[in-house]
Amino acid sequence: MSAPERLSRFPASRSLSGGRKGSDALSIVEQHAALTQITARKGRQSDVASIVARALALELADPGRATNGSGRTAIWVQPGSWLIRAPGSERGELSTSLRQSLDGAAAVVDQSHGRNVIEFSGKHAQSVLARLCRLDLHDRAFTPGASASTIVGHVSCQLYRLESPVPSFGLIVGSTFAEWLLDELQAAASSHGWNFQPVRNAAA
Amino acid sequence: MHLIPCPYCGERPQDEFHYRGDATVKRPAPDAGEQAFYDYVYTRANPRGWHDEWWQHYAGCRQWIRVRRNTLTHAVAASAGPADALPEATP
Ligand SMILES: [Zn+2]
Repeated sequence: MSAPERLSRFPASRSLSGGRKGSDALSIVEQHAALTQITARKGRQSDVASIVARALALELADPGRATNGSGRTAIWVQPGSWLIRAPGSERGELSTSLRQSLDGAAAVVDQSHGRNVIEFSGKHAQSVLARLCRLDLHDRAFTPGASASTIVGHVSCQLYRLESPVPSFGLIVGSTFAEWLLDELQAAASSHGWNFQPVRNAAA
Repeated sequence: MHLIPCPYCGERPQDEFHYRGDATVKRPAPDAGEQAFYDYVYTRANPRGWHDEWWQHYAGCRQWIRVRRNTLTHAVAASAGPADALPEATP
């Protein structure tokens, strides 16, 4: 019998809640995701867009946006480059199949282990993030589907707004900075309280 | 907070950028001589007023961009991608 595989980036000793008690607590959820960055070769951007549309039924996002399709998200990161987020069950397979279908039209780099995805949500998500980030995250300025590479809590981070009735944000951060970012989010959220949900272990 | 307009990302806070030097210097011809290369590497004008500069949006789209900034007021008149030219002149 083997031990269950730990999928969370964070130590099991981390608290699952903190800060003020109440109904306005923010929710911090670690997500198990497959991440693959694709960067179009010179002059191949429209080929890349049509290949990804065919292979994943996913439309590549315009600058400053993230698009959803078939349970995956395409996040614009820089001219000619997108980060594809898919469920964790597609780890490995996502980059292999993209590399095959793109066939040299783009550089394909698996970032599943290089980055971590944290979702941050709650009634006060915008004002709490404003303590860590200089972007204008108001409903009118940063709508669902808006995305930005920026600095959150002094750390380089991809920040995008999710489609949700409650203000919700996806944060994609370099793995070695993930625990720092979690500390920063929890400290910033402590005036309202927070709940943290790490990724559950895989079955043994 | 000083905002810099990135041609790819829009207006962003200055702390997402690194200053990367004078965008007006041109590399001399290979046979231009030692003095020309000395000036190219070391000699800078330090103007008071409008100046074309390289900035890198390192915490955003990672691109190098050209920015026309007023060194006196910090106003930014224009920005462009690395292969694109800034407007002719700013009054
Ligand atoms: Zn930019």
